[in-house]
Amino acid sequence: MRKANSLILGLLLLLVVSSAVFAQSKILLYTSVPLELATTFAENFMKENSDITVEVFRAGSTDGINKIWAENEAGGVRADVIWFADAASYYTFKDAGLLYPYKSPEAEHVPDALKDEDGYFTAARMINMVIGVNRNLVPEGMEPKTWDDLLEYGSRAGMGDPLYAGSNFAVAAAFIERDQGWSWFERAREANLQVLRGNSDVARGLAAGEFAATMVLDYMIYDLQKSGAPVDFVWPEDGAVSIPSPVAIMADSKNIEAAKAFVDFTLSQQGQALLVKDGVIPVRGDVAPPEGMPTADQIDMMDVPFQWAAENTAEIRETFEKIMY
Amino acid sequence: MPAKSAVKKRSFDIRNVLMVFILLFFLAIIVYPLFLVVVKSVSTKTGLSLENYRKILLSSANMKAFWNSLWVSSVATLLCVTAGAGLAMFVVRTDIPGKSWLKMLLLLPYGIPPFIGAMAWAQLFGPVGYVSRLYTNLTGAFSAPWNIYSAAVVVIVLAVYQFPVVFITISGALGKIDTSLEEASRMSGAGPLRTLIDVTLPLITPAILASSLLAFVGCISNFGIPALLGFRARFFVLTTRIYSALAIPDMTLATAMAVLLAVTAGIPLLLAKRLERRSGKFTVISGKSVRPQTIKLGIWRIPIFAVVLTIALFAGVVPLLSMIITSFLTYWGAPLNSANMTFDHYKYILNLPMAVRAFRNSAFLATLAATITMFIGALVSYMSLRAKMKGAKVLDFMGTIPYAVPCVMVAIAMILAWSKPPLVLYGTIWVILAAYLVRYMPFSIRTTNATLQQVHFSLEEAARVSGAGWAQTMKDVVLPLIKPGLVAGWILVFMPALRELTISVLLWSQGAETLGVVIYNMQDAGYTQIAAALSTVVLFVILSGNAIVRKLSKGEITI
Amino acid sequence: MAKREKRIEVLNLVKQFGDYTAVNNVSFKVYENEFFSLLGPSGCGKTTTLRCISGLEEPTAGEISISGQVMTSAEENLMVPPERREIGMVFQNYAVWPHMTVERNISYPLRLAKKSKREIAAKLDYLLDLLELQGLEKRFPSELSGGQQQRVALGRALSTDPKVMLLDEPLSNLDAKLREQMRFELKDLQQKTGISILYVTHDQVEAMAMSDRVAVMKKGDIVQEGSPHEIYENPKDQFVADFIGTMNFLPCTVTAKTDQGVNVRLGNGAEFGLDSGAERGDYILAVRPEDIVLGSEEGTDCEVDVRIFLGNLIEYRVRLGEDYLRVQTDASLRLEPGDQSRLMIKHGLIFPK
Repeated sequence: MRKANSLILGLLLLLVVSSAVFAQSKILLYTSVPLELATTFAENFMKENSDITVEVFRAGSTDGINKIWAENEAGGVRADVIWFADAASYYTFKDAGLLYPYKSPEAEHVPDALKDEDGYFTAARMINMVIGVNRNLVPEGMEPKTWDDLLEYGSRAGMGDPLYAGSNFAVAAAFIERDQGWSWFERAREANLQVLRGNSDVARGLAAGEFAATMVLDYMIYDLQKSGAPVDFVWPEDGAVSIPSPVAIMADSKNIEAAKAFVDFTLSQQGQALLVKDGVIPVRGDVAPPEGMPTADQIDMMDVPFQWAAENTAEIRETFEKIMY
Repeated sequence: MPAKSAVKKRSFDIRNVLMVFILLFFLAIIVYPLFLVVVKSVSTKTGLSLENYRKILLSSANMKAFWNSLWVSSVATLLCVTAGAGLAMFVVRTDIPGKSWLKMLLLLPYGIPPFIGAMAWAQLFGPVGYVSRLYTNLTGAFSAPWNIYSAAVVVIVLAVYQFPVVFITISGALGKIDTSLEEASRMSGAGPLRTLIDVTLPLITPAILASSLLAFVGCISNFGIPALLGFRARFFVLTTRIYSALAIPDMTLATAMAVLLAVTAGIPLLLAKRLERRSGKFTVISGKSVRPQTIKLGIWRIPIFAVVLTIALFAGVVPLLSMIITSFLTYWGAPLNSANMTFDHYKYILNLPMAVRAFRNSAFLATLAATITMFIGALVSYMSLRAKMKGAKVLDFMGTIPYAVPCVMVAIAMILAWSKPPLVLYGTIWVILAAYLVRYMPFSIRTTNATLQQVHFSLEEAARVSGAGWAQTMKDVVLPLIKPGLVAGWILVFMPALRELTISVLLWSQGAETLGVVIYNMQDAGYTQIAAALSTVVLFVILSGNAIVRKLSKGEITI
Repeated sequence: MAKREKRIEVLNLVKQFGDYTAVNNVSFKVYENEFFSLLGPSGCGKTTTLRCISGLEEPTAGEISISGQVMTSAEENLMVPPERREIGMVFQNYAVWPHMTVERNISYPLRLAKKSKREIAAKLDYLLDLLELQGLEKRFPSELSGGQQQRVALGRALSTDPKVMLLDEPLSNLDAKLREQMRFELKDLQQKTGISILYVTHDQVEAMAMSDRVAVMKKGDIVQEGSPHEIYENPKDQFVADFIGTMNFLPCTVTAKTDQGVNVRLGNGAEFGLDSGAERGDYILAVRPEDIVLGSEEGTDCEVDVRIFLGNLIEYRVRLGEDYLRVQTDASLRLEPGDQSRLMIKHGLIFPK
């Protein structure tokens, strides 16, 4: 309620001030960041920038990216800023000329690995693919330590589908790069590892005890733990797959300046601190991570060849289909 | 014998103006957008060609999905039409106890969004579902002997969700049969079973055909159920393939598959139209008002009641309860005890501006969609059936096309048609309204056709002879007579529109969220319990709406 | 008369729908080769009685036998289903099946009876011929006129040569001309086939014209049973008198008993003798229009009010004091409205007030 009240207050204030002094500008954000977090973000941003209104359109990464392509096909993307978890798509967007290059001054604090060298996009959030376990089924000390260990759980282990979930697509790319081929997936198929549609399905199954161990996103486990589910996560010894969730400005935006301000805010210390509250690991070294979580530079990260993955999307998808289905 | 419609030719007829208006409306809102989809499906970088179709036909994965769509929809249709006809028979024509309750229970699945229903089933019968756990605890078995993530369950759940439409249509037809036709058969020496086969079944054949078609199209264009339940079994159908083609992104491939899907659904539609024309001569106006005759079940009364009740509970009540339980759980699949129960999800949605907005938007969209489609549907039916105006048949046909068009294709068509100047609707609530108008127009035309056929010509002619003009006659005689049918039709559009997902999920924008979208997004983001809580609230609203309508119409109209 | 076989016997039939008693203790018999009508206004229970006989309705009490066999007995909880009663039935709305051709409609009972193809063809030929439906075999009912549909229904009912046929107002949906024609055809058919017909109608002219015997029903009871002539001449009460044919009703007083009967005085003071055994007191006098002589030398004064030509007859409405009477005369008597005349009552019945 307080949030809503302050929003209303803020909006009223905004209205009074803006009508007197500025022309109001408006930006539309397409994002896969959980709704509550995205709204908090927008509210805080508007408090700082009273001449800008942010509208949030929240959808899953696949749905949101579908929407962008559909809009592009039909005469122009409406979003000014996008913020999804599907890093590979950003390369495709970049190649299709959909993005506007912007090197935010705040981006200097973000490691190079997490941003595009030409400034078309910068990670504002990091989500990590880790091993999740159900504590009722996997006692302390018995948890799988590596991605190969996960396969020992056979059909009581699961993962999201790279064809639907951008984060899992990144995992596929990383594993192919590491193994120089599809060997992990071939073994997964043999072990009858379950492939579910999205990571939230995987997390749900883990909490309910359908799975003992899964490949899953860190913040989902953090969320479930908070609501009392018997789940925990393990940072795999052979490396987590960290997926930068970049923000980018769309080339079609009519409010480039406002969009730039929003990007700055997401990358700022203040913006990153908001993420930490929700169990998300910040992209900046000068912002402390959530309790019990490592900082970005402490994580053992697997290399993810995003550019290569973006260029070979069709082939990766087809091969995955052939092996797993 | 009805006389020829006594319309005098006039140089200026308001109805011609109306017809041109509706024609333009249909061209703009139905024909043009769908045409764009077809064009897109044959466009390649080098020009127009059938390359995309060749790609589909050559891909074994696509062909498999196509084949899966076909057989799953056929089997599910067969299943739900058999069950629908059988149960309608028992509920309408026998002395089975608790009829009105059974009827309501059997229609319950209509109130639950299919993807929520699928989740509810998974929560009960999934590998660690409550029922499965109960089974393994009781028997000591390692796992339950069923697998919910299988093609068979996709078929069953599809059938359950198409069942209410079939049940409503067939019970309506059964209630209207002149019982003396059946009695005549008994007097001719036929037993009850022979009478059923030789007389009753042929008489309700048009209704069976119509509802089969409806069910088939509903199954083949469903996305939520195969997506949620088929995925784990690595079982794909056309709609799920289209969805992933949109993600690649391969718009042309997606449109080509959508056109393929539409053609697949369109063939049975054309067949049914032909059959309907042939069966048109079966209609005979009976002289006496019908007294519904109930068949006495005797000693079978209670056993049959038990079977019907079990089916009703299984299809409607159990998933509903599962959904309600979920809405109180702290996390999905939590053990059922008081420590794991919470009201937080309800508190959350009641304070969520988006949820409140979605309620308003969905109510607004459903109201407008139902009102506009029923109004235009009534005019089109009137002109084609009554005034027998040249060209009205064309309107009727145009308005019925979307019947065979899957929702995904409607949504794509709207994006293609309404995002470019001069008229940019995309990104506003109006594009969803346009899509709903396309989607629900065939339903309203069918309803108004059926309703109008029951009003005798002479009543209208009496008004004309009494000096009323055409508009006056419509207002004073025709409309009041078809009002109950229109109201029922209105509700049949309003209810599904209120919780529509497949279209709005592709067309929504910030500020223009629908209930279906909010529920789906919650579900997608992992907040199953919040999605369940919102669904429960929506269902509660639908049920109380139903109760109010029932009361106002004195039991004549139910959902 | 030789003792005839009983084809239908109804004994103490009662049928209740909830609190409402539709048929109240009705008994009657229909003999071989007899045309028997149940006649009465709508809601009198005649159709319900017929449906109980057909087996489509289960009676609350009573017993029904057909051709000497008990078909329904509420007391013994016996109920032979309709399809095993071997009766033909024609419904008011014909109930010809819209999804079957004429041919299939008529031959349906034969096919159920597993008759050979040759037998069916022969029977069909005979019936199409009898009912003048040749050339329409392949048509669907919606392509037939009402009269043709009615004949198809008849053909279907007749196809298995039932000994008993039930007809429920089969002519009520036809136009006047066709109705009259069908009356002859039905009677003719019955005589040709020797079948027993139980006929239900609210049209007394129809019942009179065709029936050997008529039972008049009122509110679930049979009020009077007899030949059409008996009922016409001697209606048992005012209801039957009113329902059968045209009847004038006048208030009257029996002033004295005489050797020939009684003396009756009308409202205008006119007195005349009548063949009756009534005691002195106030009564209702019922007189048929043809039992009044208009333009006689003697009798009471009256004034012509309306005149209607019926071709061979003329019907007048005349005023007698406060009362109006319908009178039929032959066409030779020509009076104008307003003319003064006299009339005499030849024959009348006296009912209690």
